[in-house]
Amino acid sequence: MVQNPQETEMKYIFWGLIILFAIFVSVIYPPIFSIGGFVRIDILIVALSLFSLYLSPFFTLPVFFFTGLIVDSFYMTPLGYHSLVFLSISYVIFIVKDYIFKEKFLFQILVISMSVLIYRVIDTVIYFPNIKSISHIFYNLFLSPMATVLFYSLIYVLVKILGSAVSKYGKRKQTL
Amino acid sequence: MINKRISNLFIALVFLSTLVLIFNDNIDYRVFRAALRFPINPFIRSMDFITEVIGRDMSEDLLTQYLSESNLEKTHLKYLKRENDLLRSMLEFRSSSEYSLTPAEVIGGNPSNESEIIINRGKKDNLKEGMCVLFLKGIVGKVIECAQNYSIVETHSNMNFKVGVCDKDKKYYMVAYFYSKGLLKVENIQYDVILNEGDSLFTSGFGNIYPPDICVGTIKKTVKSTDGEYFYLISPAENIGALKFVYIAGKQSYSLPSIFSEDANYSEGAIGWYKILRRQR
Repeated sequence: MVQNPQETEMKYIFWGLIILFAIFVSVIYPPIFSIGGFVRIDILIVALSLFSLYLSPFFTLPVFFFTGLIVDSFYMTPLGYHSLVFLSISYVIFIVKDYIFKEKFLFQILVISMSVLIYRVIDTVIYFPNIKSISHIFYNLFLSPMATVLFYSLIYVLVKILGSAVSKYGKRKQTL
Repeated sequence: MINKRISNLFIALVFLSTLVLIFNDNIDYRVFRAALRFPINPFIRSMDFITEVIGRDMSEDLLTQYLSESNLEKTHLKYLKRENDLLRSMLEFRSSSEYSLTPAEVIGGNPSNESEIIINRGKKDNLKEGMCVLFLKGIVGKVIECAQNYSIVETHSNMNFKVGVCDKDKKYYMVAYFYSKGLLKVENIQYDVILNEGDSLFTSGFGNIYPPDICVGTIKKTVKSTDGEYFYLISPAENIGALKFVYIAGKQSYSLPSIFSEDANYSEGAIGWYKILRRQR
Protein backbone atom coordinates (compact mmCIF):
# COMPACT_ATOMS: atom_id res chain seq x y z
CA MET A 1 0.00 0.00 0.00
CA VAL A 2 1.46 3.32 -1.10
CA GLN A 3 1.08 6.08 1.42
CA ASN A 4 0.45 9.69 0.69
CA PRO A 5 3.70 11.71 1.47
CA GLN A 6 1.71 14.27 3.44
CA GLU A 7 0.13 11.47 5.46
CA THR A 8 3.58 9.97 6.12
CA GLU A 9 4.84 13.36 7.23
CA MET A 10 1.89 13.76 9.60
CA LYS A 11 2.56 10.31 10.99
CA TYR A 12 6.16 11.16 11.78
CA ILE A 13 5.14 14.46 13.40
CA PHE A 14 2.68 12.50 15.54
CA TRP A 15 5.42 10.04 16.57
CA GLY A 16 7.75 12.96 17.22
CA LEU A 17 5.22 14.50 19.58
CA ILE A 18 4.84 11.17 21.32
CA ILE A 19 8.58 10.90 21.84
CA LEU A 20 8.70 14.47 23.19
CA PHE A 21 5.90 13.63 25.61
CA ALA A 22 7.68 10.42 26.64
CA ILE A 23 10.92 12.33 27.31
CA PHE A 24 9.04 15.00 29.28
CA VAL A 25 7.23 12.39 31.38
CA SER A 26 10.49 10.52 32.00
CA VAL A 27 12.62 13.46 33.05
CA ILE A 28 10.18 15.49 35.11
CA TYR A 29 10.53 15.35 38.87
CA PRO A 30 8.50 14.31 40.80
CA PRO A 31 7.70 11.65 38.21
CA ILE A 32 4.16 11.68 36.84
CA PHE A 33 3.92 7.96 36.16
CA SER A 34 5.39 6.19 39.15
CA ILE A 35 4.32 4.16 42.16
CA GLY A 36 5.25 5.97 45.34
CA GLY A 37 7.98 7.90 43.53
CA PHE A 38 10.28 4.84 43.58
CA VAL A 39 8.89 2.42 41.05
CA ARG A 40 9.15 4.35 37.82
CA ILE A 41 7.25 3.39 34.71
CA ASP A 42 9.58 3.45 31.71
CA ILE A 43 7.36 5.14 29.18
CA LEU A 44 10.39 5.99 27.08
CA ILE A 45 11.25 2.30 26.74
CA VAL A 46 7.65 1.52 25.80
CA ALA A 47 7.85 4.22 23.13
CA LEU A 48 11.22 2.91 21.99
CA SER A 49 9.86 -0.65 21.66
CA LEU A 50 6.82 0.48 19.72
CA PHE A 51 8.92 2.76 17.48
CA SER A 52 11.31 -0.08 16.76
CA LEU A 53 8.47 -2.48 16.07
CA TYR A 54 6.44 -0.29 13.77
CA LEU A 55 8.68 2.42 12.32
CA SER A 56 11.63 2.51 10.01
CA PRO A 57 15.06 2.04 11.60
CA PHE A 58 16.30 5.06 9.66
CA PHE A 59 13.91 7.17 11.69
CA THR A 60 14.05 5.28 14.98
CA LEU A 61 17.81 4.94 15.42
CA PRO A 62 18.71 8.65 15.01
CA VAL A 63 15.68 9.72 17.05
CA PHE A 64 16.67 7.49 19.95
CA PHE A 65 20.29 8.53 19.64
CA PHE A 66 19.22 12.13 20.32
CA THR A 67 16.61 11.05 22.87
CA GLY A 68 19.38 9.31 24.80
CA LEU A 69 21.48 12.47 24.74
CA ILE A 70 18.53 14.56 25.98
CA VAL A 71 17.80 12.09 28.77
CA ASP A 72 21.48 12.14 29.76
CA SER A 73 21.46 15.92 29.88
CA PHE A 74 18.52 15.83 32.30
CA TYR A 75 19.63 12.89 34.44
CA MET A 76 23.23 14.25 34.50
CA THR A 77 24.48 10.79 33.60
CA PRO A 78 27.53 10.59 31.29
CA LEU A 79 26.52 11.93 27.91
CA GLY A 80 26.05 9.05 25.47
CA TYR A 81 25.17 6.39 28.04
CA HIS A 82 21.44 6.35 27.36
CA SER A 83 22.05 6.69 23.62
CA LEU A 84 24.10 3.52 23.65
CA VAL A 85 21.51 1.64 25.70
CA PHE A 86 18.62 2.82 23.53
CA LEU A 87 20.46 1.99 20.31
CA SER A 88 21.28 -1.49 21.60
CA ILE A 89 17.68 -2.19 22.61
CA SER A 90 16.39 -0.83 19.35
CA TYR A 91 18.80 -2.96 17.36
CA VAL A 92 17.80 -6.11 19.27
CA ILE A 93 14.13 -5.38 18.50
CA PHE A 94 14.98 -4.88 14.82
CA ILE A 95 16.57 -8.31 14.83
CA VAL A 96 13.68 -10.10 16.54
CA LYS A 97 10.78 -8.28 14.90
CA ASP A 98 10.98 -10.36 11.73
CA TYR A 99 10.37 -13.52 13.75
CA ILE A 100 7.32 -12.41 15.72
CA PHE A 101 3.77 -11.32 15.05
CA LYS A 102 4.13 -7.71 16.07
CA GLU A 103 0.39 -7.06 15.91
CA LYS A 104 -0.26 -9.60 18.69
CA PHE A 105 -0.59 -8.11 22.13
CA LEU A 106 1.37 -10.97 23.72
CA PHE A 107 4.39 -10.39 21.50
CA GLN A 108 4.26 -6.67 22.12
CA ILE A 109 4.26 -7.35 25.84
CA LEU A 110 7.20 -9.73 25.42
CA VAL A 111 9.20 -7.18 23.45
CA ILE A 112 8.46 -4.41 25.97
CA SER A 113 9.36 -6.69 28.90
CA MET A 114 12.62 -7.62 27.24
CA SER A 115 13.47 -3.97 26.51
CA VAL A 116 12.70 -2.83 30.05
CA LEU A 117 14.68 -5.71 31.51
CA ILE A 118 17.72 -4.96 29.34
CA TYR A 119 17.55 -1.29 30.30
CA ARG A 120 17.04 -1.99 34.00
CA VAL A 121 19.74 -4.67 34.20
CA ILE A 122 22.30 -2.33 32.60
CA ASP A 123 21.18 0.48 34.91
CA THR A 124 21.42 -1.74 38.01
CA VAL A 125 24.83 -3.15 37.08
CA ILE A 126 26.31 0.29 36.34
CA TYR A 127 24.82 2.21 39.26
CA PHE A 128 24.85 -0.50 41.94
CA PRO A 129 28.33 0.49 43.29
CA ASN A 130 26.98 4.00 43.97
CA ILE A 131 23.65 3.00 45.45
CA LYS A 132 24.40 -0.37 47.14
CA SER A 133 20.79 -1.01 48.04
CA ILE A 134 18.93 -4.29 47.76
CA SER A 135 15.64 -2.44 47.56
CA HIS A 136 17.00 -0.53 44.54
CA ILE A 137 17.68 -3.88 42.79
CA PHE A 138 14.20 -5.08 43.68
CA TYR A 139 12.61 -1.92 42.33
CA ASN A 140 14.75 -1.97 39.19
CA LEU A 141 14.58 -5.63 38.24
CA PHE A 142 11.10 -6.63 39.35
CA LEU A 143 8.73 -3.84 40.21
CA SER A 144 9.63 -1.36 37.49
CA PRO A 145 9.36 -3.87 34.55
CA MET A 146 6.11 -5.23 36.00
CA ALA A 147 4.66 -1.75 36.43
CA THR A 148 5.71 -0.79 32.90
CA VAL A 149 4.12 -3.90 31.38
CA LEU A 150 0.91 -3.36 33.35
CA PHE A 151 0.87 0.28 32.29
CA TYR A 152 1.24 -0.69 28.63
CA SER A 153 -1.56 -3.26 29.01
CA LEU A 154 -3.82 -0.61 30.46
CA ILE A 155 -3.03 1.81 27.63
CA TYR A 156 -3.56 -0.97 25.09
CA VAL A 157 -7.00 -1.83 26.51
CA LEU A 158 -7.98 1.83 26.66
CA VAL A 159 -6.93 2.39 23.05
CA LYS A 160 -8.86 -0.70 21.98
CA ILE A 161 -11.99 0.46 23.77
CA LEU A 162 -11.67 3.95 22.36
CA GLY A 163 -11.02 2.54 18.86
CA SER A 164 -14.08 0.31 18.96
CA ALA A 165 -16.21 3.19 20.29
CA VAL A 166 -15.02 5.48 17.52
CA SER A 167 -15.63 2.84 14.85
CA LYS A 168 -19.13 2.14 16.21
CA TYR A 169 -19.88 5.87 16.21
CA GLY A 170 -18.59 6.11 12.63
CA LYS A 171 -20.74 3.19 11.47
CA ARG A 172 -23.85 4.62 13.12
CA LYS A 173 -23.19 7.97 11.45
CA GLN A 174 -22.84 6.23 8.08
CA THR A 175 -26.16 4.36 8.51
CA LEU A 176 -27.94 7.58 9.46
CA MET B 1 17.17 -10.07 8.35
CA ILE B 2 18.82 -6.77 9.13
CA ASN B 3 19.64 -4.64 6.15
CA LYS B 4 23.32 -3.72 5.77
CA ARG B 5 22.48 -0.02 5.64
CA ILE B 6 20.69 -0.30 8.95
CA SER B 7 23.67 -2.07 10.44
CA ASN B 8 25.95 0.65 9.16
CA LEU B 9 23.72 3.34 10.62
CA PHE B 10 23.59 1.49 13.90
CA ILE B 11 27.37 1.08 14.01
CA ALA B 12 27.88 4.75 13.14
CA LEU B 13 25.53 5.90 15.89
CA VAL B 14 27.03 3.50 18.42
CA PHE B 15 30.47 4.76 17.48
CA LEU B 16 29.29 8.35 17.94
CA SER B 17 27.71 7.55 21.30
CA THR B 18 30.86 5.79 22.47
CA LEU B 19 32.95 8.73 21.34
CA VAL B 20 30.73 11.16 23.25
CA LEU B 21 30.82 8.85 26.26
CA ILE B 22 34.59 8.50 26.22
CA PHE B 23 35.21 12.25 26.13
CA ASN B 24 32.80 12.97 28.99
CA ASP B 25 35.57 13.71 31.45
CA ASN B 26 37.76 15.63 29.02
CA ILE B 27 35.32 17.89 27.21
CA ASP B 28 33.01 20.33 28.95
CA TYR B 29 29.54 19.39 27.71
CA ARG B 30 27.65 22.00 29.74
CA VAL B 31 26.60 24.11 26.76
CA PHE B 32 25.71 21.01 24.81
CA ARG B 33 23.63 19.67 27.69
CA ALA B 34 21.82 23.02 27.98
CA ALA B 35 21.10 22.95 24.25
CA LEU B 36 19.75 19.41 24.55
CA ARG B 37 17.48 20.41 27.41
CA PHE B 38 16.11 23.34 25.42
CA PRO B 39 13.21 21.51 23.61
CA ILE B 40 11.87 19.99 26.86
CA ASN B 41 12.39 22.95 29.19
CA PRO B 42 9.20 24.86 28.17
CA PHE B 43 7.07 21.81 29.07
CA ILE B 44 8.83 21.46 32.41
CA ARG B 45 8.43 25.17 33.16
CA SER B 46 4.71 25.09 32.39
CA MET B 47 4.32 21.98 34.54
CA ASP B 48 6.19 23.66 37.39
CA PHE B 49 3.95 26.71 37.03
CA ILE B 50 0.77 24.60 37.17
CA THR B 51 2.07 22.65 40.17
CA GLU B 52 3.04 25.88 41.90
CA VAL B 53 -0.35 27.52 41.30
CA ILE B 54 -2.24 24.45 42.51
CA GLY B 55 0.11 23.83 45.40
CA ARG B 56 0.39 27.43 46.62
CA ASP B 57 -2.98 27.57 48.35
CA MET B 58 -2.49 24.18 49.92
CA SER B 59 0.99 24.97 51.10
CA GLU B 60 -0.11 28.34 52.53
CA ASP B 61 -2.84 26.65 54.56
CA LEU B 62 -0.47 23.95 55.67
CA LEU B 63 2.21 26.46 56.61
CA THR B 64 -0.26 28.59 58.58
CA GLN B 65 -1.46 25.53 60.43
CA TYR B 66 2.09 24.36 61.01
CA LEU B 67 3.09 27.81 62.27
CA SER B 68 0.23 28.04 64.74
CA GLU B 69 0.92 24.50 65.97
CA SER B 70 4.60 25.35 66.37
CA ASN B 71 3.79 28.54 68.27
CA LEU B 72 1.45 26.65 70.55
CA GLU B 73 4.08 24.00 71.15
CA LYS B 74 6.72 26.66 71.77
CA THR B 75 4.52 28.39 74.35
CA HIS B 76 3.80 25.09 76.01
CA LEU B 77 7.51 24.24 76.07
CA LYS B 78 8.35 27.66 77.55
CA TYR B 79 5.73 27.11 80.24
CA LEU B 80 7.12 23.64 80.96
CA LYS B 81 10.67 24.98 81.10
CA ARG B 82 9.67 27.70 83.57
CA GLU B 83 7.81 25.17 85.68
CA ASN B 84 10.74 22.78 85.52
CA ASP B 85 13.16 25.50 86.59
CA LEU B 86 10.86 26.49 89.44
CA LEU B 87 10.47 22.92 90.66
CA ARG B 88 14.23 22.35 90.45
CA SER B 89 14.86 25.51 92.45
CA MET B 90 12.25 24.42 94.99
CA LEU B 91 13.90 21.03 95.39
CA GLU B 92 17.32 22.61 95.75
CA PHE B 93 16.00 25.18 98.22
CA ARG B 94 14.28 22.53 100.28
CA SER B 95 17.31 20.26 100.44
CA SER B 96 19.67 23.10 101.29
CA SER B 97 17.39 24.74 103.86
CA GLU B 98 18.09 24.21 107.54
CA TYR B 99 14.38 24.28 108.39
CA SER B 100 11.84 21.54 107.85
CA LEU B 101 9.79 22.87 104.98
CA THR B 102 6.35 21.73 103.90
CA PRO B 103 5.49 22.57 100.28
CA ALA B 104 2.03 23.90 99.53
CA GLU B 105 0.19 25.12 96.47
CA VAL B 106 -1.51 28.48 96.35
CA ILE B 107 -5.15 27.75 95.58
CA GLY B 108 -6.72 31.13 96.15
CA GLY B 109 -6.30 34.61 97.46
CA ASN B 110 -7.26 38.18 97.32
CA PRO B 111 -6.08 39.36 93.94
CA SER B 112 -6.93 43.02 94.44
CA ASN B 113 -4.65 43.80 97.37
CA GLU B 114 -2.87 40.46 97.77
CA SER B 115 -3.25 40.70 101.54
CA GLU B 116 -4.11 37.03 101.94
CA ILE B 117 -3.55 33.81 100.11
CA ILE B 118 -5.08 30.39 100.58
CA ILE B 119 -2.91 27.29 100.46
CA ASN B 120 -3.89 23.65 100.06
CA ARG B 121 -2.41 22.46 103.36
CA GLY B 122 -4.18 22.44 106.69
CA LYS B 123 -4.35 20.85 110.06
CA LYS B 124 -4.11 17.38 108.61
CA ASP B 125 -0.65 18.32 107.36
CA ASN B 126 0.34 19.47 110.86
CA LEU B 127 0.04 23.15 110.05
CA LYS B 128 -0.70 25.56 112.87
CA GLU B 129 -1.51 29.23 113.17
CA GLY B 130 1.55 31.41 113.36
CA MET B 131 3.74 29.31 111.13
CA CYS B 132 6.06 31.16 108.79
CA VAL B 133 5.38 31.01 105.07
CA LEU B 134 8.26 31.64 102.72
CA PHE B 135 9.45 30.87 99.24
CA LEU B 136 12.63 30.88 97.19
CA LYS B 137 13.39 34.59 97.32
CA GLY B 138 12.21 35.38 100.80
CA ILE B 139 9.44 35.82 103.28
CA VAL B 140 5.77 35.59 102.23
CA GLY B 141 3.87 35.90 105.48
CA LYS B 142 2.44 33.73 108.24
CA VAL B 143 -0.45 31.32 108.67
CA ILE B 144 -3.32 33.07 110.42
CA GLU B 145 -6.09 30.54 110.03
CA CYS B 146 -5.81 26.83 109.74
CA ALA B 147 -8.67 24.60 108.56
CA GLN B 148 -8.55 20.85 108.07
CA ASN B 149 -7.55 20.95 104.38
CA TYR B 150 -6.51 24.51 103.75
CA SER B 151 -4.97 27.49 105.46
CA ILE B 152 -5.10 31.25 105.11
CA VAL B 153 -1.84 33.11 104.99
CA GLU B 154 -1.40 36.73 105.94
CA THR B 155 1.06 38.12 103.42
CA HIS B 156 3.46 41.04 103.66
CA SER B 157 0.85 43.09 101.81
CA ASN B 158 -1.50 42.75 104.77
CA MET B 159 -1.85 45.82 106.98
CA ASN B 160 -1.23 43.71 110.11
CA PHE B 161 2.09 42.43 108.84
CA LYS B 162 5.11 43.13 111.00
CA VAL B 163 8.52 41.50 111.08
CA GLY B 164 11.80 42.06 112.86
CA VAL B 165 14.58 42.75 110.39
CA CYS B 166 18.29 43.23 110.44
CA ASP B 167 21.01 43.96 107.96
CA LYS B 168 23.35 41.38 106.44
CA ASP B 169 26.03 41.79 109.09
CA LYS B 170 23.47 41.79 111.91
CA LYS B 171 24.64 45.15 113.13
CA TYR B 172 21.33 46.97 113.09
CA TYR B 173 18.02 45.54 114.23
CA MET B 174 14.75 47.14 113.18
CA VAL B 175 11.07 46.36 112.65
CA ALA B 176 9.38 46.38 109.25
CA TYR B 177 5.68 47.16 108.93
CA PHE B 178 3.17 47.13 106.14
CA TYR B 179 3.23 50.43 104.26
CA SER B 180 1.22 49.83 101.08
CA LYS B 181 0.68 46.99 98.62
CA GLY B 182 4.11 45.66 97.76
CA LEU B 183 5.96 48.00 100.13
CA LEU B 184 7.16 47.72 103.73
CA LYS B 185 8.29 50.48 106.01
CA VAL B 186 11.17 50.40 108.50
CA GLU B 187 10.79 53.04 111.18
CA ASN B 188 12.74 54.11 114.24
CA ILE B 189 16.09 54.02 112.54
CA GLN B 190 18.90 54.70 114.94
CA TYR B 191 21.16 57.57 114.19
CA ASP B 192 24.17 55.32 113.55
CA VAL B 193 22.46 53.08 110.99
CA ILE B 194 24.18 53.38 107.64
CA LEU B 195 22.25 51.48 105.00
CA ASN B 196 21.96 52.35 101.35
CA GLU B 197 19.33 51.86 98.74
CA GLY B 198 19.57 48.35 97.33
CA ASP B 199 20.79 46.79 100.58
CA SER B 200 18.94 43.66 101.59
CA LEU B 201 17.26 43.19 104.93
CA PHE B 202 16.78 39.83 106.60
CA THR B 203 14.56 38.49 109.34
CA SER B 204 16.10 38.93 112.75
CA GLY B 205 14.34 35.96 114.29
CA PHE B 206 12.84 37.95 117.13
CA GLY B 207 9.24 37.14 117.89
CA ASN B 208 9.67 33.41 117.28
CA ILE B 209 7.46 33.48 114.19
CA TYR B 210 9.84 34.14 111.36
CA PRO B 211 13.08 32.17 111.38
CA PRO B 212 16.23 34.27 111.18
CA ASP B 213 18.27 35.03 108.06
CA ILE B 214 15.44 34.94 105.53
CA CYS B 215 15.42 37.75 103.05
CA VAL B 216 12.58 40.23 103.56
CA GLY B 217 13.39 42.65 100.79
CA THR B 218 15.67 45.40 99.58
CA ILE B 219 15.70 49.05 100.56
CA LYS B 220 13.99 50.99 97.81
CA LYS B 221 14.45 54.46 99.16
CA THR B 222 14.93 56.51 102.30
CA VAL B 223 12.04 58.85 103.07
CA LYS B 224 11.83 61.77 105.45
CA SER B 225 8.50 61.94 107.24
CA THR B 226 6.67 65.12 108.18
CA ASP B 227 7.97 64.98 111.77
CA GLY B 228 11.56 64.94 110.53
CA GLU B 229 12.18 61.23 111.13
CA TYR B 230 13.69 59.07 108.43
CA PHE B 231 12.32 55.69 107.41
CA TYR B 232 13.18 53.13 104.79
CA LEU B 233 10.78 51.83 102.19
CA ILE B 234 11.45 48.19 101.45
CA SER B 235 10.45 46.35 98.33
CA PRO B 236 9.64 42.78 99.44
CA ALA B 237 11.59 39.97 97.81
CA GLU B 238 8.57 37.86 96.98
CA ASN B 239 5.84 39.04 94.61
CA ILE B 240 2.61 37.67 96.07
CA GLY B 241 0.68 37.85 92.78
CA ALA B 242 3.13 35.56 91.02
CA LEU B 243 3.23 32.86 93.67
CA LYS B 244 2.12 29.36 92.73
CA PHE B 245 3.79 27.43 95.50
CA VAL B 246 5.02 28.31 98.98
CA TYR B 247 6.86 26.60 101.80
CA ILE B 248 5.73 26.48 105.36
CA ALA B 249 8.60 26.43 107.81
CA GLY B 250 8.08 23.97 110.63
CA LYS B 251 7.29 25.55 113.96
CA GLN B 252 10.31 25.37 116.23
CA SER B 253 12.02 27.56 118.73
CA TYR B 254 14.59 29.21 116.58
CA SER B 255 17.84 30.02 118.32
CA LEU B 256 17.47 33.68 118.89
CA PRO B 257 20.47 35.76 117.98
CA SER B 258 22.01 37.65 120.76
CA ILE B 259 22.92 41.19 120.05
CA PHE B 260 25.88 40.71 122.36
CA SER B 261 27.15 37.28 121.42
CA GLU B 262 28.83 38.35 118.22
CA ASP B 263 29.84 41.75 119.43
CA ALA B 264 33.29 41.61 120.81
CA ASN B 265 33.30 45.26 121.71
CA TYR B 266 31.88 45.02 125.15
CA SER B 267 33.16 45.04 128.63
CA GLU B 268 31.79 43.32 131.61
CA GLY B 269 30.84 45.23 134.64
CA ALA B 270 29.04 44.49 137.81
CA ILE B 271 26.78 46.26 140.21
CA GLY B 272 26.97 44.15 143.25
CA TRP B 273 26.04 40.61 142.25
CA TYR B 274 24.42 41.76 138.98
CA LYS B 275 26.62 41.46 135.92
CA ILE B 276 26.18 43.95 133.18
CA LEU B 277 27.61 44.16 129.68
CA ARG B 278 28.66 47.54 128.44
CA ARG B 279 29.10 48.36 124.81
CA GLN B 280 32.32 50.08 123.98
CA ARG B 281 32.39 52.94 121.58
